Amino acid sequence: MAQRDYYDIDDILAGQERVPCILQVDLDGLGSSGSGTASKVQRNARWTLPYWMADRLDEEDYVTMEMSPMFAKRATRMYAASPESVQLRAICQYYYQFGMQLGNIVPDVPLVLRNMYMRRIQRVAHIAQQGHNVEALDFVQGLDKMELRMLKLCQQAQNAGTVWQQNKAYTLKKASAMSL
Amino acid sequence: MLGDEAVRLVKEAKDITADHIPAYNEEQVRLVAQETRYLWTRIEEMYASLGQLTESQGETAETEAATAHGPSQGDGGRDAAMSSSQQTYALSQAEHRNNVGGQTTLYAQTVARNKRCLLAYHDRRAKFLRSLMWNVHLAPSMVPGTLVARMSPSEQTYMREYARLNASYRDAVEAQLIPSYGSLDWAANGELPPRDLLIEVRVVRDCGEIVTENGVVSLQAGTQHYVPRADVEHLITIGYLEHVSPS
Repeated sequence: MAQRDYYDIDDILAGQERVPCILQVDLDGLGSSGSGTASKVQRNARWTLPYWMADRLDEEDYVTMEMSPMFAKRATRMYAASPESVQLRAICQYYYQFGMQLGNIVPDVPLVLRNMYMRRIQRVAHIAQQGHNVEALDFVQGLDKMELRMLKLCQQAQNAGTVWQQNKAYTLKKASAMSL
Repeated sequence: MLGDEAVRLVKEAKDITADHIPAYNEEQVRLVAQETRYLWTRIEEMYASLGQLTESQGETAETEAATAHGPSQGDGGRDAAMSSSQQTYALSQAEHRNNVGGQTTLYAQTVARNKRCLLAYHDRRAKFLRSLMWNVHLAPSMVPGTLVARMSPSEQTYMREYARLNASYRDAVEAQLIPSYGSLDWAANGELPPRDLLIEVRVVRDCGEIVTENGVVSLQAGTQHYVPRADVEHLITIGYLEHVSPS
């Protein structure tokens, strides 16, 4: 992982996504209450672990990591059928970032991401230009974090044009942090 | 699960925007640091126990070799039974070793994860503080008290030191950079290029008097002035003045 990603908040949160695993050894500390309670999970048990944990343990063969259900073949085919109607937020808020992390070890995933993204982002840009659009509410509510950020950027860019026209573009403003 | 406490901190860091920062979560930071230290002692314990395991396994192997080379007539069957039980013992030893290895890896990975989360949390907050310092034009005293209350003592020191560092650099270098002109506003907003030399401002809070190129201007609440931009920009960003844009 590049140095710049180390401090990236979104990258850390995306790595928290769970993947199903099969344990090859007994492990402690996987219970929901944290490492305080002694909750040992036996080997050959199935357990969902966060990706950051599973990746490392899988490298050393202490678990066998399985494909995350949202990137499984069946799911991928289903989403590819109509990308715009997929509610990504319900599936995973960090779909793209998690996918990119997975893409380091699974070569198929980046292509899946690209297809999804290219179709959906066109709709996002379209909505940003339209301003208020009640029909697109469902779609907007189903966007994942990366798409939401793009939407905000597009909207800001749209606004910038209007603001400039109103001669307000060069107005010095009070720093927003000072309003606290 | 391991690492959940640390992620809570990261989620708080995510809430930081340009205009909002939650209070420094001292308790959570302490908790994560504590968990990390505990895990590390566990790792050291397990590593030590692994060392002892290898020693005792060596002993068992030696005694097995001794009995194997001992009196063999009629004792062959018993020796065979003994060696097979040694084998199962050795297998479960290997299993135990594997368990310890897996547990150690898990703990070590969690330690690394906790560290990353802590660093990212503090780094994000530090970033906010730095931009805040530039907004107040390197005058930490102008930061509102409510905002200061959300910082930990070390963060407050960081703010002051950062401002002091930049100010001393500016002072050291200014004379060489701009020999002719009086002073350059180092904290001027670099993202918004100046369009006008003189701007119209309305006074929101009493600022007293300022010295401009055209003389002394008395900034009393409610008055409007037409002044050089460079002289009043710092008062606008902290909210004492309001820029009235020509419409």
